[in-house]
Amino acid sequence: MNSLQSKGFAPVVSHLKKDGREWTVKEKIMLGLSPKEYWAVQLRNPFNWVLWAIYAVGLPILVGRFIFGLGWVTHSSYDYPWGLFLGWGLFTMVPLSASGFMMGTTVELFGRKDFKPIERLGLLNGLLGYLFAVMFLQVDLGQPWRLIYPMFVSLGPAAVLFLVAWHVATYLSCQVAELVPAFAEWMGFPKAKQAIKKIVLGLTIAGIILSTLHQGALGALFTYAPGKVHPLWYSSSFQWFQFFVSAVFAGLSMLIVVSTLTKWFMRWRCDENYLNNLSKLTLGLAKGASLALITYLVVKIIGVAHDNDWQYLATGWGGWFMFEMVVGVILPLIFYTMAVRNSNASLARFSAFLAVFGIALNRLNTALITFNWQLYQEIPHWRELVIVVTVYATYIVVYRAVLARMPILYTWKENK
Amino acid sequence: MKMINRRSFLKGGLAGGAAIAAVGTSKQAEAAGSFGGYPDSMGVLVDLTKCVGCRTCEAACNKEQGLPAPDKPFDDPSVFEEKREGGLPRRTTEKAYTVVQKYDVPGREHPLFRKVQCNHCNEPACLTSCFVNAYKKTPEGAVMYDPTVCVGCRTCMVACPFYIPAYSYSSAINPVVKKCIMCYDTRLKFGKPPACVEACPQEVMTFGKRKDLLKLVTSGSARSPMPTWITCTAKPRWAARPGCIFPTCPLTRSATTPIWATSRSSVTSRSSWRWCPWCSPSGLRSLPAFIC
Repeated sequence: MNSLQSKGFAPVVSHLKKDGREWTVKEKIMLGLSPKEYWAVQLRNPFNWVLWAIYAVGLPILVGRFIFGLGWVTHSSYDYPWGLFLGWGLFTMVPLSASGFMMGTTVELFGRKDFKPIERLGLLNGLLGYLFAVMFLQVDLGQPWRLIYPMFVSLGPAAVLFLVAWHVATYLSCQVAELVPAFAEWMGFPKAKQAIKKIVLGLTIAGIILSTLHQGALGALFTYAPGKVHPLWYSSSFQWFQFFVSAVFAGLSMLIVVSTLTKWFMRWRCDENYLNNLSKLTLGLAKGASLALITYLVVKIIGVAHDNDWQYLATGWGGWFMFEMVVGVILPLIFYTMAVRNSNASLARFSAFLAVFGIALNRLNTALITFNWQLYQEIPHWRELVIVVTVYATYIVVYRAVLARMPILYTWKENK
Repeated sequence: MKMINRRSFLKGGLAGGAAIAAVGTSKQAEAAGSFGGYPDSMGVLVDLTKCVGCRTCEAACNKEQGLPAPDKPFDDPSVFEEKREGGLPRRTTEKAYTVVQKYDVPGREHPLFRKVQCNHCNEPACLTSCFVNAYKKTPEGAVMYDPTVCVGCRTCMVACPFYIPAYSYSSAINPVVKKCIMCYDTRLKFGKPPACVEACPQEVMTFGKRKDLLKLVTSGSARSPMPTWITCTAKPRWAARPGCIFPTCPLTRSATTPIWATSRSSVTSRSSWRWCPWCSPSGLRSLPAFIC
């Protein structure tokens, strides 16, 4: 698509074509290209070849999971009931999707309208991340058709997961509502956009309340198993707070990462408003992320001090912990700060990749790697990994499809 | 909206917070109490010094609960040598609600056998963690599981400190949690002892009202090698609180935090906390001195 643009292709930015006629929905879906051109572009794209290879292997296995059961795609472990579906799909993807409430808060609540160019990307990142976290959950649940049970059939309010279930459901609705304006612009439903505009402050505030609670609750889940998670990763008093604060910089860093990817690979879709402001906004996000990082670092140290776990630092696990802290927290903190001070957006972008890696490592460590640290290590079944890659590939496909069409990276021209 | 400047906001917030702290505390404020169990609930006292590892209890459970035939017959002692991953001894599975483990203890003439099954805790971690309320502590004492509402999130398996719940992963359509139910449906409801208790030829297990069983222990009539709270408090080098500080101590069934400190001063220091060796998921790696 980028090369098409250099040959004079102009993406759809309004309801009307150059000759004054309106785009049909089908034409909008085809990005304003003829079907022949559209499929030619898809076939030429090497990334699509990778995706097709992933689906060729992954789709049968994903379908097989539902036909043959979890026993076919996991090691059926009683000691390790949770695997990669939850470890990656839920525990890692949910904090990385925190950009939704971060951007909503920044623009709507704190009035930082200068972040508007990147606001919708943050909201979309949040929505798709949570949506696919639910997809991963459906793959993981023993009886996924019973997903609504904790809401409508049999309620267990004492459980932390009860809060998570309710929150993810309501927050997902919030995020869909927050993205209706983008959809409404693209499809030409002005009334829908106006309706949402009236309640956007309420939606944002609801988003903050819901998000802070469930981001923390995901951490609180591990207080069910205090002896099972390694002491350096476990803190009965602060687990929830550590997960919440890390979600803040996880969302911001993921937003920087995604915006960088759009700048590299979807430049044809970005308008000047977005591209010209991107470096400045990246530094703004980096500033916020660095504040969250230093808070997180301090709370982590307090957590270790509170439980007097210092001697564990000298062990093998301690070395792994230091690796996670250095690469995932301390280096991003230093680089973000340097980037903001020197107005170096590239350094901020590199730091964001490190921070995202650090979050993934922290969540996987807590949920899988240091879980049952006194028993044995469990390597997930290869089919589990294949399914995770397949569902994540679907997430990328949907992400790309929405970004290519709806006014997220560009501003819609209302010329009716 | 009238704009307030940051300094005034912080001053107001601090003043408000201080006011609430000074006035708003209640003498009654305390953390949630613990549940001591239903007054007439039944229990099973287990004296593992008498266990000879015959596995009749496993066979009785298998028959009573209609479980499939095991890979090796119940009189085959080679199951004790089977190690699962990590060199760990056998554990409960979807086909075995109770298993007997064998330990060769240095200095002990005969091997030590331990029967493992759901402890039917007073404040079960599985029950607390279940977001569809699938678990129920019945007044008779058994912790029951309702497979008709279970979504299959497996949080109960994460929460159980004893690693008891198993899951029928092999089922694609109706996978459910599998664990000992104290033979509630067929026996406990009618006041009868569970199948394993009745079957045991060495009378390792005593069935009765839980409060009566506790009296047996505290009066010294029962010889239980499990670290009872009496034994623990008699040992000054254990924690100031009853040493078996469990969420689900199988004997006292009291709900506190999960572990036990190795020295009085280190109760607050988590680094000294260890799994109680009896219920340690890794089996009996180390034994307290008073087991004979």
